[in-house]
Amino acid sequence: MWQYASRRLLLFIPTLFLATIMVFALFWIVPGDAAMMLLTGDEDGTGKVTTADIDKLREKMGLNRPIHIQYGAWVWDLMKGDMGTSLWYKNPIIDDLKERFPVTIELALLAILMAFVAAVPLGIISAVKQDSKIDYASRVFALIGIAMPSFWIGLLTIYALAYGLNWLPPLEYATITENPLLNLEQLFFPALALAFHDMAFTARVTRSAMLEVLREDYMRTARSKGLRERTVILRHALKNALLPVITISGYQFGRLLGGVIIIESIFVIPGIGLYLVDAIIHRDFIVLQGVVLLAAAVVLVLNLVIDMLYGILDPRIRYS
Amino acid sequence: MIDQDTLGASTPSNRGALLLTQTVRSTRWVVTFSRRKPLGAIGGIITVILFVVAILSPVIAPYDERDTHGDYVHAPPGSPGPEARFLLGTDALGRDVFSRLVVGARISLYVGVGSVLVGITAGFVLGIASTYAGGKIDMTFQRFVDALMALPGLIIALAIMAVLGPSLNNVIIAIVIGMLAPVIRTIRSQVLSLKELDYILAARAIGASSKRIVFWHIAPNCFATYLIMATYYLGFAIIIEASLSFLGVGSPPDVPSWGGMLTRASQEHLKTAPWVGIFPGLAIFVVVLGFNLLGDALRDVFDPKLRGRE
Repeated sequence: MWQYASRRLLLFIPTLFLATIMVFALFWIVPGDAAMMLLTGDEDGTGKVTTADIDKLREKMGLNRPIHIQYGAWVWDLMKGDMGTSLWYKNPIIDDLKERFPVTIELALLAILMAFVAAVPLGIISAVKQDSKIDYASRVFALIGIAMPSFWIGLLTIYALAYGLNWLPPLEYATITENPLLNLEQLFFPALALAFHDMAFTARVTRSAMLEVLREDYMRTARSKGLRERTVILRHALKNALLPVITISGYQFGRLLGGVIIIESIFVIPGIGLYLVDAIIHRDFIVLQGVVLLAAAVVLVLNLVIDMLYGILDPRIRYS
Repeated sequence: MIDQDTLGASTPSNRGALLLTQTVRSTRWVVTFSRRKPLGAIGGIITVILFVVAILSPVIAPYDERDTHGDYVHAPPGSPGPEARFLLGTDALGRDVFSRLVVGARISLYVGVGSVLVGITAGFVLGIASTYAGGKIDMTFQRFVDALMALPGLIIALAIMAVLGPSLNNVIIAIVIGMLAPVIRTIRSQVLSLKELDYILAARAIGASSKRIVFWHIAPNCFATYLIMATYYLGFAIIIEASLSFLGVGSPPDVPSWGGMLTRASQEHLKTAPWVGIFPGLAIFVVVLGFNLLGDALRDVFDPKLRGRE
């Protein structure tokens, strides 16, 4: 196990390192730099800046140094927990992220929970009663869920809530520590809208994983020793089928993060997604850089955790 | 070899006959396919309709998609207009939603086909090249793919759009980069398993060069994968384009993209004029569903190993 874990960890570090290079390079190709953007910002000073001003600010911000030094300084600051200061909000980015990250994670976890609670039973029924009407209906549901763009689901949810229930997303956001009940009320529908795609996907994966397990010899053994059908399905089949389902869902987390951006901006939830969209509108590339890197780091760490768990749960993985 | 010789020697008359048999054969294939895979056939029909609408959009659209009709703001679907009925109503500026949808099909298809052609072809070339280079080059390159893979498709596309600014071709670049990593991975695993097959060994044994093996034996066998991935990623590209435009960084505002039609402006009027938001979303949904159905069916037909799985 240790060998497997250390090998996996050794792959993780260079990958994270390459991700920082990619994110850095992406924003390096932006026409103009942060100094120019600060001085020629939307609201003041367009046309009133001189090159001398820009040069002075560049020197202050260290933008006149060679590119590899800038990259090194950036990574060094990152390791110290300093992600720079937002051009638009004028706040240290790390502080903003600390405030917003838990909101996004709560929304994402709630969505994953909803997706699992609904999708796993659906997938099981679908596989056990293969080619029945229920199976057909759940497969159609899965296809529909995967094809529906998340912003449309979000809009339809808002429409249904506003029209049917006369409920609109509240303007003031309450955190879970301030007011747990209001917080849950606020996040319930956004999470549901977010969960829809995952629900469809997870149901599909559960179905195929179950179908595969149901064909195994040990299923026949379990039945022939007289176990109840329920025990056979839940204890012997589901336990084995759930592993790939959890893994694949974990890898889907990146896609979920994409959906979070859209859902947060539709329901006005002050998480990372809304932060990112605001940063794009105000061309705040330093925030953008930070958020993109954070997303990559979250995905990489999650993949690492999944691989480790998989190694613990399924010994075959360790030796291959 | 023999086949090529007979083909080369064919006279114009039997070339015509050959074309005829080929047409008959492919028609028969389509009929069998539709009978065995009714859902796939529905997907195929949706795809064909999309292409026809996109090509004929100037003929189909009753109004110019940019024409504003001040007297007909938020006209409900089916209400009479100055020239023709507003089949799907009008938006906040009195523009015909149906005409915008029809022209929007062209935008979606342009971005979709563009991204798929560039992205999957590039993924194909890079995937095969990296696998064949092997060793340290492959190892290093795959770490880059790992890093790219960690960046979620929509997030990387958003960042690229923020950097490049809104334009249709920039959307294609953003989508291509967003889809490149998983495409390279899929091709790579396909090539790795093909490489182990006996016929590659046989080709090598008779002295075929690496170049010949890649072009004549590996690449053609990845064609089915190419087709299947193209179908799926068409849907992916259309959704990402719509999402980007929805967030205001995709297609320029004057382009009637399906996602752009759903932006804040239509959200605010959701209660009074829901059709402005509902129809573009429905169009995206139906088209993506069509591509997925077609992709599923094609995968089943081309890859017997996966038959019966999801």
